[in-house]
Amino acid sequence: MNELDLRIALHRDADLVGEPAPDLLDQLAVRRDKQRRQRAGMFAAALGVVVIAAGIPVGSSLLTQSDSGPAVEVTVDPTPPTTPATPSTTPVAPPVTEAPVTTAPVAAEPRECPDQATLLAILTSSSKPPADLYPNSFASLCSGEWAFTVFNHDGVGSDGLPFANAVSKLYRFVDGNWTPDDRDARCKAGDIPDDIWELTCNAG
Amino acid sequence: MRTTEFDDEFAEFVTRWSPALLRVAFLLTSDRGEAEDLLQTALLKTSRHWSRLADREAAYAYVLRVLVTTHTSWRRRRRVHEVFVDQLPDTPAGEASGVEAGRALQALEELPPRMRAVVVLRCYEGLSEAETAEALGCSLGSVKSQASRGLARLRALLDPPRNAATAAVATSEGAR
Repeated sequence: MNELDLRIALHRDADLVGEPAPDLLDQLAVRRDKQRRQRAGMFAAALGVVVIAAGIPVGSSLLTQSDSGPAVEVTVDPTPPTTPATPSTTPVAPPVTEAPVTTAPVAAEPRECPDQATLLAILTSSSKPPADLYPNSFASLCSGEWAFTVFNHDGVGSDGLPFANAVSKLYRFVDGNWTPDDRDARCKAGDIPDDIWELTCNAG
Repeated sequence: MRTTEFDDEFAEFVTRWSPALLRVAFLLTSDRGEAEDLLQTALLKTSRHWSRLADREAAYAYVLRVLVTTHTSWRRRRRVHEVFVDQLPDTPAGEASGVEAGRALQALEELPPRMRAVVVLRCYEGLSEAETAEALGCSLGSVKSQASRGLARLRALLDPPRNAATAAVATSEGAR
């Protein structure tokens, strides 16, 4: 059999499949919607595991932190002192004329955590807007003056096949505005809250 | 209407080219249902990148590549249940090629996935060796050797048309 015969035979056998379904585009749309939901669900589940895993050591460290450590926003005394607190080892009374001053760092003022759409808008309006980021089901997370979220970005793998890539973005509340911050630098410096660090730096 | 959710150009592309792509998918899978599944998967992957496909003339080649690579990865991950049928489809008049209808498809099933893809792209799609290598993401030498061995194997299975194919299929079934 020569190559022409083989070619004819292949064409004839290929025709056995018939025509595509007339509602192929509708079927594609249904599958696309289903895939989107599945991806969102899987991503949310994976993120939930990361959040829980990150929360356990953070919670443990807060519980075991001694009084001599850096002050945190946890207040144990229900009645605020009318006079400045005096160390128990110091017998000298504080000057009565001075008003009590809180020197310990207080937790950042509660502010509304921006949603993902807001954070994406901030990013796209910045000087170097990243290309082709799009939102997903991930809810943005905030801790103090820091906010964090994950966007999706379509990439192409080494095998040439497309896939959705997760891109972490970090923001800081500066002068009354949420501003994109350098995630890589913050991750290296480690000067962001543990819970944010765990998510944006440790969880990829 | 869901179709309006897709880019108009993409919808037009699907309407125009899906019959041809389905035939390629069928030659790769030998199964109508799996071929449709493969085609839909390849089209969905393409739709996500459609806006960035600058050269729409090359869209067919792009989908073809996605189709073949997706099928290869599927074959790696799962063993497709293949059933050899005793009753082949009715042979239309002619048998111009000297091969019964369905025999070439059956013989293709005897080839490893990669070799099968090379034969389909070269002999059915009529791609050059270079284009086949690009579509499969492999070297030109690999395409040459796979095509040569694949065609030789197909000839052995199909020539003489009836008895050799039956014997070869039976032999390979036993070897599995």
